[in-house]
This record gives sequence, C-alpha cells and structure tokens, in this order.
Amino acid sequence: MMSPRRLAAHCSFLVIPVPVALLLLSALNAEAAANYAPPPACSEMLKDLKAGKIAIDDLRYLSNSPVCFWELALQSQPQTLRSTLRAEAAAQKSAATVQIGAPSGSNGTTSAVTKPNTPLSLASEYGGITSSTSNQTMTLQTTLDGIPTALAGRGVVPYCISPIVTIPGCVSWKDLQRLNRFGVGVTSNTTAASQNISGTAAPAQGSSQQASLATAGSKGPSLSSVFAKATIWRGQYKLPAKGPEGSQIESASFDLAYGLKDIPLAPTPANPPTLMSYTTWENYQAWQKCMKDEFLQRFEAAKTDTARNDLFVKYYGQIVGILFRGKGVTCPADNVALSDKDLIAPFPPSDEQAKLIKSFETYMAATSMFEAQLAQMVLAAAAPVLSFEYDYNTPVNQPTTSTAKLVFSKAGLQKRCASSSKKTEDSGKKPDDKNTVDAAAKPMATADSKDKKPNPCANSTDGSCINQLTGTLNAGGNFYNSAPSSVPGAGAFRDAQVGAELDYAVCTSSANPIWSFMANATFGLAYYYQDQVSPSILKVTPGMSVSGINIVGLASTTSSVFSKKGPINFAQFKYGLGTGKNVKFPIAFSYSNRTDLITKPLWSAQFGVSYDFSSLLNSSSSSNTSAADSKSP
Amino acid sequence: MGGNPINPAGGAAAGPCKISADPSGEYNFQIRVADMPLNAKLCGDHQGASPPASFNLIKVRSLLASPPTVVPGQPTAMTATTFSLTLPVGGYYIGVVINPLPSAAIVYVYEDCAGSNQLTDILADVQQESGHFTLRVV
Repeated sequence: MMSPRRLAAHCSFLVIPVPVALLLLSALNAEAAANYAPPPACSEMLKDLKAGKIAIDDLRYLSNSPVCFWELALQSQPQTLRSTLRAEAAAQKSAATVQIGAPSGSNGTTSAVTKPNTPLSLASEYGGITSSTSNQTMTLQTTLDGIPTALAGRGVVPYCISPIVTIPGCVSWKDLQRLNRFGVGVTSNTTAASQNISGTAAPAQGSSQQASLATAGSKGPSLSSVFAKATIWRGQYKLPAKGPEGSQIESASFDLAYGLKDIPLAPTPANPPTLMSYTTWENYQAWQKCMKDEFLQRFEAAKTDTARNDLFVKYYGQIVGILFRGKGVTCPADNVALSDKDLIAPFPPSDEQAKLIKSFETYMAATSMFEAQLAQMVLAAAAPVLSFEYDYNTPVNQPTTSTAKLVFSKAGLQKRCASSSKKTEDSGKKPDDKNTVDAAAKPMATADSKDKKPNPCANSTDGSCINQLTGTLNAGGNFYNSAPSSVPGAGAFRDAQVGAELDYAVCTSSANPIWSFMANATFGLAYYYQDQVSPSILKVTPGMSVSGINIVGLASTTSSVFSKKGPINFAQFKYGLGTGKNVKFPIAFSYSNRTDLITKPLWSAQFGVSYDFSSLLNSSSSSNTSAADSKSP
Repeated sequence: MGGNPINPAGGAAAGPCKISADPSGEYNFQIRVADMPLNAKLCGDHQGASPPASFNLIKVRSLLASPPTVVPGQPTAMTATTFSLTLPVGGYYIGVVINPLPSAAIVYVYEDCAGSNQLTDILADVQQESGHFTLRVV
C-alpha cells in the first residue's frame, strides 16, 4: 500500500504538464509573433493581385472578398472561437477512439483494450481484466492541451485568432494540436478487497473475545498505475467530396453585395444600407476610393512581399475600425495599423453590425469552408491513430511492472444521430429558389446529384454525428521493473500481450425522452491474449495473510508466491452508455480461461462511470451561437 | 467586379460583342435589349483556356424592385460552361456559382463573342465559388 503522501507526489505528475504546456506555448508564439503575414485568403488575393489575375475591385468590395475579410476581422468573434473549441470537445465525447478509464493493464479497469486518444476526464471503475481480484479505481487523465484548451474556451487564456496582430500569451490551434499528441494519467485504487488489520485480543469471555484492532495498512487510496501516451502517427482525415449548395452560396453572396451596397442603388441617409449606418457607408466608400487610388499605386510600386503585407495591414486593415469602431479612413495610411484591441476588444455590436457579422458568417457557412474546417476536426476522430503508451503499474501485493504498447485505432461509417439533420440540410432553400435557373439547369443538377452523395456529417459540428464502427488494436509487452531473482523460471520479461476491440455505436437519442437523456450508446466486443513468459508473483509478508487472497499451506518463511504461467484468453462484451455526452457508463461482462494467478476459467463483470471535462468549454453565455446556427439566415 | 475588357481568344464562330461598360458607372455593363441574348462562357484564364470547373447555378435578380426579386426563366440556356440570358429593359444582378474545383484556381466568366469582355471572376482559390456582375439593359 502506498501512503497518501506518496500518492500526492504521483498525482503531481498531472499538475506539472500544465505550466510546461503554457511555457511551450509561449516559446512557440514568440516565434510566430515575429513575422506578420495576412491571413491565408488575403495573402492569396494579394498574390493574385500582384500577378494580375484579379483586379483591385476584388479586394476593395467586401462582397468580393468575404473570406479574406472574415479571416481578418470576424474570426475574433466569440461565437466563432467557441464553435472551434466546442467542435473539438464534441469530437472527444463522440469518439470511440478515446480511452474512457484506466488503461488495460491497470487493476480495476473496464477496458481490455487501450484506446489511443486521451480525454480530459475523471473515471471511477470497478473490475479488472487479468487481475485475480477486482478493485475499484479512480483515473484522472488529460492530454497536455486539455487544460489550456479549456481555459481558452472559457476566455481565461487568450486564443490566437489573428495572424497579423500579437495577442500576448495567446494559445493557437496549432499549438494545442501539438500538445494534444501527448497524454498522461494516474490511476489509484480507491478500495482494496480487504485491509491488513492487526490487533491484540483480550482474554476470552466464554465464546466471545474482545480485541483491540489497529489498521496496519493504509486506508487511503494507493497508486495503481501511472501512464503516459504519445501519438506517433495520426492519419489525415479526408473530407467527403461534398460540394457546397449553389443556391445557398448565391443567396448569401447577393445578401452581402446588396447589404453592403456593393451593387447599384446608392443609399441615402433616409434609406441606409441594411448592414451599416449611412455614415459608416460613407466611410466605406471613402475607404474603397483610398484602396483604388492609393493602396493600389503603392502596392504596385512595392518591391517586397513584406512591404506589400505592410500595405495590406495599413490600408485594408482599416476596414475593421470603420465597420466596428466607427472610425474614419486615414489615406495616406502611414501610421495606421491594426491592434489587437481592434480585433478582440469586446463590444456590443449594433443591430447593423450584428447583421453584418451574420451575413458574412452565413456566406462562410454556405461555402462550407468554415463548416468544413470544423467538421474536419470533429471527424478527425475517424482518422487512423497510432500511439505509444507506457504504463507504470503498481498492482496490489505484486512487484511493480512496466507495460509498453502500441495502440492503433481507426473509426468510420459516420451517422448523424440527432433529428436536426433535416433542418440543416434544408436550411439553405428559400421559396424563391423554385423559379430560378434551376429549371433550366435541371439536366446539370441531375448529373450532379448522381456524383454527389451528400454526407449528413460533412458539416457536423454539434456532436450529433458519430462514427459507428471503431476498430482498435493493441500489441505490447509487460516487464518486471526489477527482475525477480528468487522465483524459478522468472525473468524481467513478464508477458507479451495483444488485444483487439470492435465498437459499434448506435443512435438512441431520438427514440424517446428516456433514451434521449441517456444519449447514444456503444456496443463493444474485445479479445485480449496474454502469453505469460514469467509467472505472476505475489508478495507476501511471512506470517500474515495476503490481502484478499487466502492461500493454505504457506510456509512461515515464504515471501513470494508465484503461479503457474500460461496463456490468458480474455473475451469481453461491453456496453457503453453516454456516447456524445459528458458522463459515460461502461458496463462489461467477461470470460477468461484464467487470470494472472488463478488458473481456472472464470466469468467477471466490470463497470464504471467517467466524466468528460470537455464540458468546461461550454459557455453559459446566451450569445453562444454555434456554426450550425449560423447557417440559418 | 468585372468591367475589365480583357480579350481572350474568342470562339471562331462567335459573333460581335454586345456589352459595353455602363456609361453612368452605376452598373458594371450595359447592353441594348435588341442585342439579346447575352451569351457568356466560363474560361480558365484570360487567354480563353478551358475551365477546370463548370457552372453550378446562375441566378438573375431585378434591381429595380425593392427588395430585388428573382427573374424567372433565366438563364434561357445553360451548359456546363456557357449560359445565355434574354432580359427586358431594366437593371440586373447576375449571380454565378461554380461547382467545386479539384484544386485551387481562379476561373473567369467572359462574354462569348469575337472580342470577349470579362464579366466576373470567381476566386475558388480562396474558397469563393461565387461571383457576380451587374447589367443595365437599355
């Protein structure tokens, strides 16, 4: 048994990664901040402008450069940020590639096969796979990005939303993805089968006898295992070849052009544009003139990309202040540059500003670009993952061991579970669509529909899509941390182990209110094989009983008991309730031909509960608008 | 957008160009109603190369109504890379959407005539699969 003090030292293993992760982030961001460049779409447009592929009108009319403007000014919107981080949280909760509780080698786990991804979660489980006694354990685990992501999602740590301004101490999505490759966790035994208790008996009183008992062992939790995981390889998820809906794009594009008055019918003070006040429109006009007259001239005269980027920030960047801060135009723009305050300082948008933001986000949603980016994160859980895991195990009354294993997982067969799919798919259609070119274009539309099978999960960011099938493979070896010299036939290499699991997720959430509460579920079949090369060893204290195990006939001098070695075949049927939810309830029934100590077949059950802390990313703000919401104009 | 009278190699059988810049500057182009239909084609570059894309949707809106209304029955003809419009006198917004490209590229919509005029461009290289131009019919 381990003392609480020692356990605390082990638990600090989890606390260390947080400051380390933040330090790493600072180093990464220091490098990124030194080199400003326009956002990707803007950068591409500048290249096109320089090459003569596009005209200045493509840049100075915002309805012609919505993606560039959105990247520059609107990614800072809180709802956009939250959508991004929520997408990751949804991925974690819905994926069967995520390890729910303790790794397979730990006492008291419900998992015969370890999964490659680590959640930010707390799990309590009762069971055990190869151990002869069942334990209750508690597992706390996280990826290195788990806490920074949660803090960024809550706005406690700034999130790097702009490539052209410095936000001190911000964390970027790329940095978080790098840290996401590493996971750590600790499992502790919260109950043992029995405790070692010693005491002194008083003189017998008939058939009764009083005893003064004192606890010899610790009543506190003991360490069961510490584990670390690193993703060696993560396959690229290929987005489905789903084209954007033409009428949605066209409508969103027209709404932008009309609302910004980028097309004829000049507004008047009495009849202002729908997306801005008349005064703002006048500034917008002045900015357009400045872009055409001065920016273009300077841009064409600029010799280097750095100079052109600088001009972009000074001239194009002014549009953010014009539209959202009531600023005028400075032309020439020698001393004007965007600041982080322009982009991230909170402000209550006016009605026109809110409509403006909505119009751009509707366009982005219509082009599938932003949605596709989010969906890529959500569905990245379907990408194949290969991880390496190291477990330091301290089983009760047994020598400490180390397990090294490779974990591979691949998920697929996506399905949308929530009933919102129809709403999402239909949201772009408007009544006026039926009398447009569609009739004339019918032959083309028919041809298109043959090629395109819309994937209902292609734009899913709400966690309602699941990967129905997930396969996981484990292969590894278990070693004694110190070779047991006193046991005949025992060496440092304890066993080789392989495992395979196939999970099938089902949608139950729409069946009725009870199922809706319980959410979607996963059925899993697992097979685990362990070839024991060295026998299992039980440490005993001479003259004292072994916790949870009674062995008759032990000599008073025996300090190690070893069992007959042999292969372990373990099969498990697992039912996991709560797929896509914060709380999951895995229940499993298992059969094995033997355990590490017992050489007879036995049936067993494992069950647990885990809480996924990705819910920390959810904001209570009422302005929390999902990307899916933004599809509805 | 549009309004750049760049001249890619027009089709051998193409007729004379019908559109010109709108003298008021309010619209991108002007065309006489007697010159209808307006024929347009999709090009891969300014030299008239075959486009790596096809039209997904063409929608015409009348800008004389407030709010603008969709003009039914347009385009009057459409293939993967061409379309024709026949419009009465008025002011119009013509929205163009292409099908996704296999790789990043810009495609251009030109008037299909002996000396073509660029009507609009579509910046699919930055995920903008739509473009538009405005037209006054006199």
